[in-house]
Amino acid sequence: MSERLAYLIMIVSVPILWVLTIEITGFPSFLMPPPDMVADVLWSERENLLFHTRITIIEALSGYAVANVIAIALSVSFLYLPWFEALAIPWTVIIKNVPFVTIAAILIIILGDTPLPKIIVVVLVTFFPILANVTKGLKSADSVMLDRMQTLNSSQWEVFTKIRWPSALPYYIAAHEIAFTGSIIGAVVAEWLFARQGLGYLIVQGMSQYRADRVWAVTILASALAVGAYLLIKVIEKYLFRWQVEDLT
Amino acid sequence: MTIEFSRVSKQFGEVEALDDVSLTIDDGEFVTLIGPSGCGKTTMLRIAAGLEEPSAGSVAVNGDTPRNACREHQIGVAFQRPALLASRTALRNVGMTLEITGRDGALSPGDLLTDFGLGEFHHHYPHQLSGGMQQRVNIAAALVHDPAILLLDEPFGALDELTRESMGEWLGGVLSRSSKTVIFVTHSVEEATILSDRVVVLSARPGRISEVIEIALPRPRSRAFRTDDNFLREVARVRSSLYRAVELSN
Repeated sequence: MSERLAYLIMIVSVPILWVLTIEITGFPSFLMPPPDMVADVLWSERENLLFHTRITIIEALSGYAVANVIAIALSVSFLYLPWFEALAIPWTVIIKNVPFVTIAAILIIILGDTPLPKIIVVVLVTFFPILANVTKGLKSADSVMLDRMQTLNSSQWEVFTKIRWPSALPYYIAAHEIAFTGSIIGAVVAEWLFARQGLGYLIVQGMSQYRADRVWAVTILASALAVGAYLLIKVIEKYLFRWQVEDLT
Repeated sequence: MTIEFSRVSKQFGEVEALDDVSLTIDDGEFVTLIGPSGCGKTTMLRIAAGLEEPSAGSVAVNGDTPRNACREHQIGVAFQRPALLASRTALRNVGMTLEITGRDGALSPGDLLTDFGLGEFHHHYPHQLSGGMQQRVNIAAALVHDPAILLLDEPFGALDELTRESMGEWLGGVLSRSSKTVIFVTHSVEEATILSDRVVVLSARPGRISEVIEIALPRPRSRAFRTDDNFLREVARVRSSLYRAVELSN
């Protein structure tokens, strides 16, 4: 079965399962709103929803950009300075494993309702997969290739740009598949803790006002964003590695 | 260019890979290193390429260090596993050598690949080529900057017997048109005999030269030559020397 068809089946199945669940359980619409009610919210409140979506996207992208810069810089320094890697590993393990929800709470206490704590949370959530993958990718360069470069008296820069970075690229793309989606989830959760803007804030507001329809609308928006991010990475991956599928004709 | 090993020893931890090896390879000579596994033949080649330093003794390439020979782009190497980038076409893989060395005195990557029978495969990626074709691209990448010295570490070791035979013939043909100094590492007695001016038989643990055999056969040595009595006699001579070296190793 083609991937496209599978996605189509999924998209069509979601509202069907949704309606079926309501029919079977008999939940009233203020607990579990039907698809048309949520669609109505998505349409009638579109300006408000778009405004908050934009905020979330900006936080997610800023945090993600910072995470990429830090993770790649660390990976490259790990490659050339093994002692620095040994020194840094405990720190990366701590950062990866401290529950980011509590860190978010601490940051919000310190920094208040500014974009900064949300961006930092996004960085904390996304930087580790990039760091781990790029570090591994840079070290996966073929030893035979490195030997060949050495006998040609190539510079470190040439070794990096021609051998190491191309070797790391598939690992880097794989990291995006995990982390880019995570950036949106990280931003939403940080907003959800404390904020006056963004999709996370809309969730809190919707819950306190018993507006299930709005919570559902935000869920659909946030999911669409995360899935869109994932699919974008897939498209880029397909483009970058198009040579892998080229046939012999 | 000459390559001179003077009393070279090499230890890897406790393991003595090479012990007091001396060998002089003349300008334009094709020398094969053969021996049981662990005899240090690959180590000798890697030392000549400047990829390893000897623990004792020295190696001189035209009187200079191997590293300096690399700096002057006088050395080309090809290993058993082709050193090709999966994301580059055959042509761009060969061209990468020139991106590093510069184009001074270089051959044309396209002409070289066509000359190697890959005229229709310039724009194919490594995964679209057979093992034998990949190895030809690999050797083209090692030759394209026209180094005076070519070091080949079991380049046909991963190929099937028939491909291996034809690749051996092909390499003999390619090199007969040049005056390169070649060190060739192999496990195959036939391959060693048909290609070499001299065969150096090594014994293992520690790696030592057991015997050096001159192959006094006329060139060119074509396929028909493989069934010639003189050739078969030389093969038998190399093989019995190799058996003696294996016995020495145990």
